[in-house]
Amino acid sequence: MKGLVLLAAGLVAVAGARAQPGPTPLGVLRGALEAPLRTDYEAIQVLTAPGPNGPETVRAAVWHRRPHTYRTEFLAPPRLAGRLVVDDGTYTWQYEPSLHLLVQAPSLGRSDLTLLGQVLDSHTVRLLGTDVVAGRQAYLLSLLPHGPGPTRRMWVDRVTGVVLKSEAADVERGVYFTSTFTRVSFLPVPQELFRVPRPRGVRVLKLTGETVRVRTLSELSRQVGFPVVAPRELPPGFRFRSARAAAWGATRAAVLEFSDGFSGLSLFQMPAQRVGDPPGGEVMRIGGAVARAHAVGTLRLLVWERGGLRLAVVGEAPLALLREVALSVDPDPSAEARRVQEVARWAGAPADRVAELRDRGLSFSEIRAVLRSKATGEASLRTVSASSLVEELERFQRAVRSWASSRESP
Amino acid sequence: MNRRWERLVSAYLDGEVTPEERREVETRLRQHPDLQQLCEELAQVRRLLQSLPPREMPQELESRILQAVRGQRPRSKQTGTGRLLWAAAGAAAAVVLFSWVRGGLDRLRAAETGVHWFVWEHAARGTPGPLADRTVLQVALTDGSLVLLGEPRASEEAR
Repeated sequence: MKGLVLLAAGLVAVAGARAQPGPTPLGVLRGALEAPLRTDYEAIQVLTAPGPNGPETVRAAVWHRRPHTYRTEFLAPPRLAGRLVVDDGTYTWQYEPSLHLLVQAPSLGRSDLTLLGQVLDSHTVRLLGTDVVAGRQAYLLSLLPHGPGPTRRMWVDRVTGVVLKSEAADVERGVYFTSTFTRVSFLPVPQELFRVPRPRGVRVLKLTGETVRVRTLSELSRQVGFPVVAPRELPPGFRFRSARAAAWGATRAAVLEFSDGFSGLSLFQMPAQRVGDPPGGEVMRIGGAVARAHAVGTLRLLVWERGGLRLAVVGEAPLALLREVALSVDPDPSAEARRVQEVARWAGAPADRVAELRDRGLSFSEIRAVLRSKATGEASLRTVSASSLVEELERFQRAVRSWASSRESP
Repeated sequence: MNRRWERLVSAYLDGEVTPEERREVETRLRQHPDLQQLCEELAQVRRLLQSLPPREMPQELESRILQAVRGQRPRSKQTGTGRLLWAAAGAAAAVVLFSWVRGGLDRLRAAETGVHWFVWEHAARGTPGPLADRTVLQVALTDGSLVLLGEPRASEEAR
């Protein structure tokens, strides 16, 4: 009789557990994205990444106060020890005690929740199970890119959603980045901790530079004074994000930014006669041009010259991916015009319409998708025009910001 | 000695430093004989350039510039308009020279800062994913800032 009671109790417990929805990869990922907006934490972080002289293990004490404030005290290696970084959501303040120097640079930005959809579009996200990190239960997620980008694993705290551990690997470097919280606490972090130190006599240097964001490539061309080129095609999963003009001394550079939702790529263009080829790096060929490949930390760069332009593409990506972007940039205006005509003929659309979408930064395959879905009347995101896409995105970003600020207010 | 000090000493000799930087350079000069030597060499070059006699502009240069600007031969005697054109041509030449010098400086800077400007711009203003590791981005940004400012790394200063 006692056994029957226990069995019945067990069945009730199982039924109850089934009634609770289990974690989904999307739910865990969304939790990780939202975590910085709702959770303070203090942790010791140990990460291993490529350094100036081979793999480097960095040890740091980190504090986060929701929603956008971060403090990092670097403890090791010796070249970084003592460096203090405070990111107040507007600026990054870097204090170097050994140099008696305080540097003001732009903030590393805020959590952009609108990128969640793109992460899901460009990666296969799987929930592999659970694990324990720094004494806490964590969900283990894997993100497999649809293109040649890095594969990632993330250990996400079951209660708070904070990423406790992460790894990145690609075919060229194997596992090139690992980061772990060896100790973490989720108590409220006081605001005073994010005060920027200003010891007597400290030199304060501003490195905020000048940048102008624009909506179209033609506007960017006017800003920089030369025709700006967009890649014909992008690696799978990547999309155009924004365009801006930046200053390099007296020279204006055009910068196009792309993202797969997880990591970004920046494509720089500037007149070759104004900016020399940075020395060093591994020499390789891109089409008919000689390029130099460089590595700085987890980032890779390719720098080359074509059509009178000095071009550089930067990102946390294998060289194969950067090379794909580089091969797709052709500064020859007649080649661009030919391609516009070809796509217009293929889609049965006016060439002006294709050129307009190109001016919005879209690659030719994105343009084909937009025009095809418009022709077939498919009710998908791709059926909307590029301009309304931008408007939709901006509307969504505004909604997310207003949602985030309503969550932040006490 | 690093490039920041080289630039500061050069600016110091040109009288283009703030009072704070002046004090900083003078202290540094007292402590570092190699910097002092560089300062003396630069001062010598300046003295040499200043001692060169001023040269008259050749007459045919005037003719060539005026031809280029107006597409016609200059009048033998300068009128008010001629003087104005001369001034315009001089200003244009100065702009071209300035741009050329600045362009040259940019090329030099590219060699000096290597790829760090690209890395810095990417880290500071790019589109990092919301799940990107901030600490590793901070290392890229802050290392880049020191290179762009011509500051030695903390460890190099300690050595």
